[in-house]
Amino acid sequence: MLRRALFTSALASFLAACGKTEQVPEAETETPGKMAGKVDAKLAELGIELPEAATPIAAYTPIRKVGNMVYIAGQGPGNQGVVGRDYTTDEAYVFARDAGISVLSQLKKACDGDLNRVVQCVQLQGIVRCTDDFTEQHLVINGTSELFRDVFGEVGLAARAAVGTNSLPVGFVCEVIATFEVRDA
Amino acid sequence: MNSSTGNINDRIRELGIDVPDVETPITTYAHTRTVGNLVYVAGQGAEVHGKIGRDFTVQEGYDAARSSGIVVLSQLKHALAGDLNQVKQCVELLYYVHCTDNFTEQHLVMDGTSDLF
Repeated sequence: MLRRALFTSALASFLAACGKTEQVPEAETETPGKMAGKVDAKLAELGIELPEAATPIAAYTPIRKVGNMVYIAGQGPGNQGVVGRDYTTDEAYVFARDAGISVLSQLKKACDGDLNRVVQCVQLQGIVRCTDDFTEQHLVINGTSELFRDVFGEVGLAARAAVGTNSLPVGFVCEVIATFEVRDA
Repeated sequence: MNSSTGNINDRIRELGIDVPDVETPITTYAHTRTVGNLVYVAGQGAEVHGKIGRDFTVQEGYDAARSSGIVVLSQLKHALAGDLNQVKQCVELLYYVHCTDNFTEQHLVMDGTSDLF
């Protein structure tokens, strides 16, 4: 259930004792080349051309890999401003989608160019720069979530948190931080 | 079963907590994602709207954080096919408090979730 104007929000991860949980989908039997083509074809269908993965603007690395997990540093859109003052929710939705495209560029690099290695989007944190009384952060961050769903299907939807803040680096409208599970090459 | 705490379901009953079953659909996010033995639970909020430091006290915020934690437990239970005894540990907890600019007791508010767990 979506909750507006979160009073408090808790985002948690737990270690469970056994593997009686959802199964990781079986790896596709197609050749890696064809698999890569599938997601690329989806991106083309959506009219999305992934830009070169952005280089860091400060002291951090855009990608970290641990086993089959890929952690992607916060990505913002090319727009600056405050939602609720400079932009509407619908306008900011598009910026969140753009930030998601930057995430996909980093992810593709992490997957050595083969986005079909993505098993699922595990976790997504969306931070929206907004006015004090703005309460539609979740609708803004849907721009990222729906992009990932359109590209990867249901597995593109993450365990997510969307929050607001008064300020972000270089004036970004929003910032998204994502973690993906990927298959071995 | 976690030997240090006994049966979790008994403990929840002792605390007088109702962890409701959840059957919420996936819309634009997943309530939980599982990778190996790690369960990631999406951000969960309390059904209370307002700012701490203006509309609510720290204690009221604590109670709301506890309520948020119960929703986390519901989602976790669903992810574990109803068996919270599978939980070995809570690995990480991230929280946000909707508060006034000069409020500095976020940690005391979120003890509501931590104390529950």
